[in-house]
Amino acid sequence: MSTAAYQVALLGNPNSGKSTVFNQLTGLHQKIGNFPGVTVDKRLGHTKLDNSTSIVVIDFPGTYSLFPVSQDERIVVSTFLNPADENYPDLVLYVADVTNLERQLLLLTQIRDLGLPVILALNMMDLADKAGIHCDTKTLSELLNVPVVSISGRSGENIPDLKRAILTQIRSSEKLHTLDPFYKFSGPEEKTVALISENFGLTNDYRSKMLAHHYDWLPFLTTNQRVFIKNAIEQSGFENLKLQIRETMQRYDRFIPIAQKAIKKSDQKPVSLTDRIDRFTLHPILGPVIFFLLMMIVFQAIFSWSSYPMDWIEIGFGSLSGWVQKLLPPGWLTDLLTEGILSGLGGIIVFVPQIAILFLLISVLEEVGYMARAVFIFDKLMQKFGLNGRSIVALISGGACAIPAIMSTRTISNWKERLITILVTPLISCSARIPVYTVLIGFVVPSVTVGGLFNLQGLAFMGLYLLGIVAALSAALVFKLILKTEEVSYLMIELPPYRLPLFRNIILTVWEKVKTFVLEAGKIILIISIILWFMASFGPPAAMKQAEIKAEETAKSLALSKKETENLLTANKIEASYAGLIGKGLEPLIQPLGFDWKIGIALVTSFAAREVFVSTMATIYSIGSDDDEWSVRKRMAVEINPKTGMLMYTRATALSLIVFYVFAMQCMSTLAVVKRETRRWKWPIIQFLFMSSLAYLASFSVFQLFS
Amino acid sequence: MASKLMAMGILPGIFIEIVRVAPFRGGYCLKVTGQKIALRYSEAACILVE
Repeated sequence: MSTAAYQVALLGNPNSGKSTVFNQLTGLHQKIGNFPGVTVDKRLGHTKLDNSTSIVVIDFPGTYSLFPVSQDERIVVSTFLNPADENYPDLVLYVADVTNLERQLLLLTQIRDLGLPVILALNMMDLADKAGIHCDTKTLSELLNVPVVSISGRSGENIPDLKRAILTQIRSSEKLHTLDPFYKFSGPEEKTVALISENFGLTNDYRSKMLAHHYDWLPFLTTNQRVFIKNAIEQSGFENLKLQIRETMQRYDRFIPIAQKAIKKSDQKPVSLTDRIDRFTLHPILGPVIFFLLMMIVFQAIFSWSSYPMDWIEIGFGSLSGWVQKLLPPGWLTDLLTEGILSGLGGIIVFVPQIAILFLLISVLEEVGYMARAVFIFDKLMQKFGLNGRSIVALISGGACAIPAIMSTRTISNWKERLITILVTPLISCSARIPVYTVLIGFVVPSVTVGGLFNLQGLAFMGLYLLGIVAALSAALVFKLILKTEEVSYLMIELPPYRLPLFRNIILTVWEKVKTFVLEAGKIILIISIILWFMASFGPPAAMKQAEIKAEETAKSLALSKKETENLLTANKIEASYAGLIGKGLEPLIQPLGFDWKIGIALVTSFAAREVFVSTMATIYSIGSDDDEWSVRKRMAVEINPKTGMLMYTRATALSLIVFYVFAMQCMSTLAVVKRETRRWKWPIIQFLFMSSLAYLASFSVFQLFS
Repeated sequence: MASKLMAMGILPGIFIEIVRVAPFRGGYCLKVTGQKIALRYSEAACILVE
């Protein structure tokens, strides 16, 4: 195979139904990649046109024009201006919503002027029929001079026609750049373009004009080329912004009459259902109330519905590893398999229900058209914290689990706002903190009823959640001041008409999110959990041997039962292991927080997941692995600090530990997801450091204050 | 800003209807040729209304 695959770019305005068409064309044959150098998602899929021809379809971000304002839109411009780009298309499939065609012709005519072969797919013909809109595709095709096919991405109607049109285009050798351009240059443009076209050897003058508009950021230009274009512009008096407006105006003046000629609308204009719904959803008071009700449902769903499948997964993996343990001879290899790999895999799969449920609900809200409203409602509020209207969804779902929450930030197009959302979301108390809070609150807060209504422990719980929220918003404020970006923040968002969600699109989204998590973040989680297993089970051989002997001697002298001996053995072993060594090494560092080396070990192992804290404490106190929260708490209550001879878990220590878990980034899975979403190790490392320092400082102050 | 507004269909001489003001005084919801568009106050400030 020497011929490169035929590449078709899917392009169109946001809300044109582009993704639905993409799903229709490619079905499950899709891959997610990203455009070089940026964290913009690139969806790529294959489709068969006939028995012998298969094409690659690339879904480009929704774009309004070739004058970009966001990172997403810049991708389109830098790809379409550079024939050497790996994603440079052989053909552009331009999707437009036929119920609102006029505005969408702007980008189409720009692409056409670039000399790229274009097919116009008029989407949503089913809705157009209902709204009494009729489009004369033949006239439209003649006037615009591009092939036009009317389709319905929702029902799949005429998709075969579309494929046939693509096939015809592939087979025809006729190139479009001989066409009359839509836009006529002014004097300064002609001069600039002549200079650039000659120097760069370009045959398409509109491409030269685009280089003149965007030379200062286009990544594929060399410094010399940039200097040349800059000089050309200055020589010819090329005024960037003025000419952008001139071009836009002229294009509108030319294609509006075309659209009006081709499209016949019936006159009646009833108050649409969308307007009626918006009266409630955009209402100053009802709007936020409706939003919070919806979010309560989402939160409740991730929090409680997912607990059943999560329990099944945990039990399933537990019995699987028990079965493997029985089947294989005891030894480190079996341990690696059961405690390292299987528990690591279980730790990955256990997040799948939460991810699936969150994205199921979010994509329903997105498909229906509600999300744009939520963004509009909360934009101002979130803006104050350097966040985006969409961040509120991530922050709320972070209350269940930070992992799906962070994955949901994809839809925030401004990079800085997205990054801040990712960085602060783990500060919101997630469900994995609950077991830790439960054990520790029992120490500090008596279970009494106050005001005849509230349980004091419950109030303390709520206080911890509030503490997390305040921390997240304050951290966002700080990041807003620190992080710099040249990207301008925009709201300017379309509120699309409400539509019934498409089941197919939703399932594809859920599938894609789950797949990405398991494959990409899963790798990192598995590696870390094997490392953690190794550190907790191995130590310097001599020390490990000694721990074993000591445990046996103690057991003999105290006449312990078999089970008690085993528990003592594991306790002594973890003390002698590398994790134990690290815990002891940490002791001087964490002593000011009121922690001893035993807590140090638990801090290391609970990096796998916060709830591991409880089971590690159980192991250290040789209670056995039944990790019952009550027995752990009972044992901790009588622990004596060898240095002071007093109780180890004073109020100060317990409070300090609670506060530590509110702030600390004790979750490798979250870090793995942050790495995957930001494409770099830089951000998870920064996140780990800032959250750990925050936790340290907070614990330190709390301990010093109360002891 | 101007070219983005124009790309979204807010053209000189066009009829604009303010449908709503967002809660928390967040911005405007405009209606332009049947399409609803949400803008911040600062973004809407670029539009000259007669």
